[in-house]
Amino acid sequence: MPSPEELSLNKASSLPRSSSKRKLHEPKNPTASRSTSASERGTSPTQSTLPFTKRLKTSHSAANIGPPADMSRTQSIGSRPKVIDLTRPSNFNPNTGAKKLVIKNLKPTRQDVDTYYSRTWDELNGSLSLIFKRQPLRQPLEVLCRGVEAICRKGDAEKLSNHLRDRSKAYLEKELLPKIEREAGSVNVEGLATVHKYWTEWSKQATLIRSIFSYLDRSYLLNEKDSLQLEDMGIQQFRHAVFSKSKEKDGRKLGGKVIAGMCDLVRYDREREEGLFNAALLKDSVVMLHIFGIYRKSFEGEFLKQSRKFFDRFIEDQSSSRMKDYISACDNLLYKEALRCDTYNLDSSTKRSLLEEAHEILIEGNQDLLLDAQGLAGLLNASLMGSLKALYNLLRLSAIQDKLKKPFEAYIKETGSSIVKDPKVDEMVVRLLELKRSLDLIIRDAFEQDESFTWSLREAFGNFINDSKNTKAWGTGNSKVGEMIAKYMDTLLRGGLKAVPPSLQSDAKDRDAAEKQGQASTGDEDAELDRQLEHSLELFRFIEGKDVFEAFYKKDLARRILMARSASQDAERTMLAKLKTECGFSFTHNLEQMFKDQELAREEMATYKDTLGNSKAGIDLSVNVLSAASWPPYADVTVKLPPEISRVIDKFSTYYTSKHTGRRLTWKHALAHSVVKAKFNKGYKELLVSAFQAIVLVLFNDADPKAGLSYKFIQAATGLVDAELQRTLQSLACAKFRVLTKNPKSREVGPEDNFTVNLAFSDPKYRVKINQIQLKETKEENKETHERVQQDRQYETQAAIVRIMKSRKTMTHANLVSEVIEQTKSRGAVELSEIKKNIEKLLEKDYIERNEDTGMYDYLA
Amino acid sequence: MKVRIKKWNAVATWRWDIPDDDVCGICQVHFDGTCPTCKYPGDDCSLLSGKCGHNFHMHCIVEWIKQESSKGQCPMCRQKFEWTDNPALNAPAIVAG
Repeated sequence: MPSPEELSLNKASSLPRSSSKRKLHEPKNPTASRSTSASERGTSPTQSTLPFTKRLKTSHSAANIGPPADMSRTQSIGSRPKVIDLTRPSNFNPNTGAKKLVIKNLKPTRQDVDTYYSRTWDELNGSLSLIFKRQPLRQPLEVLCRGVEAICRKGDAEKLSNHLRDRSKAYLEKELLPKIEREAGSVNVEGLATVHKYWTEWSKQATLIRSIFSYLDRSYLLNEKDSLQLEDMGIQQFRHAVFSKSKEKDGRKLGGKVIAGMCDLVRYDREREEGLFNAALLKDSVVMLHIFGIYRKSFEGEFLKQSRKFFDRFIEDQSSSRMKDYISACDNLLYKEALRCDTYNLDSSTKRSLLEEAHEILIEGNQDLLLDAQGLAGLLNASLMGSLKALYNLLRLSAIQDKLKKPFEAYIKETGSSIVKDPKVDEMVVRLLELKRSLDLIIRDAFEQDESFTWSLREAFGNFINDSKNTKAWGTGNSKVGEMIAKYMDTLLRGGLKAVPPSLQSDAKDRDAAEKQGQASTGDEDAELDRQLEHSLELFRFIEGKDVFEAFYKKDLARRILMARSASQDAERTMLAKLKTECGFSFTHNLEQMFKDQELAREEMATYKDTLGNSKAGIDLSVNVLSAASWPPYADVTVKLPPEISRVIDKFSTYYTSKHTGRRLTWKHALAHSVVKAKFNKGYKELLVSAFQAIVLVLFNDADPKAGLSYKFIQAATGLVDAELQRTLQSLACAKFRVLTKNPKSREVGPEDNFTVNLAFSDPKYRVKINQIQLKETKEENKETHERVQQDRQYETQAAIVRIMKSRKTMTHANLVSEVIEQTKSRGAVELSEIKKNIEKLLEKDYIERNEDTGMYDYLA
Repeated sequence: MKVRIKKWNAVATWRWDIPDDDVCGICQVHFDGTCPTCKYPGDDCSLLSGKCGHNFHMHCIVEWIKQESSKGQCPMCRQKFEWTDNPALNAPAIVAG
């Protein structure tokens, strides 16, 4: 680029040329004619034949004749003359060619250049001073920029850069630093603020300097290995001044103060000292340190050190707080720390090491508190999902979540045992289900479906359900839970969903919602019932003595079938299928037979009725013929049947035995039930009664309505044993529906009582069910079932012993016993002493013998 | 009051009309149960009573008779096995030797 002087020269030279052209056309102009005549003097007419180029050149040189002073004049007279007289002869003669022009040398002298350089240098220097003083510049930036370029082109780049470096260094260390130190004050944060303030200012100054000296920056410094570029230089010099050159004050250099100030800011934030905290300053300071490149070297370490102290203090403060509070405080703290790192642009590595420190101190260091069984039990009891989730996540941060399993299991065992031992039997299963449900939810929602927790949940459940200490509380020798689960399922299958307690149902709804998201689930009643059964089956899986369950389930099933009390046949079938997959074919074999018998009975009755034809028997008879082996054993209760009944029954008996040769029928009247129609004062009622109730009621047909019947008479007429008769009469005279009236009135039935028909009996329904008594299980029945289970266990044990010995041939006592327990566990193992007794029995029966030499048992084929 | 029985749902159990603790001489399964190949007791797995007084699952004894070596004899008493339709009449004989 030409220098400004050259530029102006060029411009000026172009002007007279155009004016000289005009002069040729305007002879009237006196100055123009003079100048042309002057030039004409030196040129001969022959020269008019000169080539055009030559002429052009000459005209060009002519234009250069005029000195600069003259130029301004030509410019001012460059306007057109007012009048141009074309009639007068012009002195323009195209044949003579252009007038001759003279060229003058106008090149500036060497001395001018040196002045320019020194002037430029001074200007730059002055500008620097102005920048340092934060005053506006005198020269336009463009001029300064060109000046720098000119100097660099001249080869003084090195000198210029050295000068620039020295000046800014001098400014920073001599001027700015003392100023900062003066303003910094004694408080760390103030120092930080001051440093940051002047750093912002210096950045602006440095940017201006860099813009002006950009040519130097990009041409010379870029290629110079040893010197920094302007930007880095600015940073480096400022850093050097503040961090290295500053004097110690209050036992701390300015740089130290900056770092301490930042740590203080973080501390204010942590301690929620809103008034002292300055978020913007902290953020900017972090950026500043990053720019200085000393973030890691000087800040990070100090910051982590301070943080550690803070965490230690936090633990001390929290040492007396409860688990729940500690969890939330901890969670909150970690969240805030992480958030702070993100908000204030702390390095990701700082964040990582900070959080690692925090985890180590807060979680691992304090795990006694976090894993406290008591505290955890509190959380679990209250189902504090939030806290539990936070706890799990906290522990997981340190990868010690597995340690939570121990208190978790302990809690389950303790709670479960207390439920199982609780004398409120009826609620046992519901409570267990509730416990399991809430724990399941906790695992799902708070423990992120952690497999290992599901595992330990199962472990713990199995543990307390099968704990012999818990079963002993009941004195039956069997698992009470199995019995209760069977009964619970019975309620479900009988009453359908109405039997499900609302607490579990509402939980199920929660689950519905969850299932709807995941898998399609119908919300109808069948599906709900199915789910409820599934839940109880889950409990059932934990039980080791499944035989108890089987016995009770079978009994209840029998009752449901015989009394037609099943709420849904489908539900029964699915339940059976479930049990089959759960426990195998042999477990459900008998249950299946029961369903099969029911079907057969239906077919049988259909064909029987066909053979009877249309003859009105008066009594609609239906018989369930059961195959004795598959059903629970029922005691024979003798009863005298009314003649009309025994007639139809005998008829069927004959029909049946003739159809199925070789079979013998045994009537179980205790299980029979009947519909009777009775007339009361308020009209007819249909009563759904047990066989015994019906037999008793029929007796009153012939009785004197006033006098009624005595207990003794009824007993003689029915032939029922005391216990049965008392139960029957009680249900008729003392229960909810009082068809009979007892004299004297009381709850218990005695042998001296008298009964009359309660003609005033009324009920809004036409059909009245009063055979509930049949459905109820008596204490004796319960005991009997338990005893039977015990008895069966002995056989199972013996069978297991023989099975094992047959395959092993010879075995030690200890091995045999453990093997037997292993084999019989799922159906119910007996006590060690019982196993020993059974071994003795088999020794007696010569299935096995004791080998005197080896001390082992040998199998005898 | 007049009471009339409209409907009577009776319950009865059946067993084979033979002594309670009798087992099939071939498969050693109680007669209340089935032979090893069947699932449900009843007409599908009936019993066969020999004139000699020995009862078997029909499936069991038929298998036995089919074998050459059985020579059509009762496996219990080696008499010629002839069945009777009415086991009730055929009171279980105490078979000597």
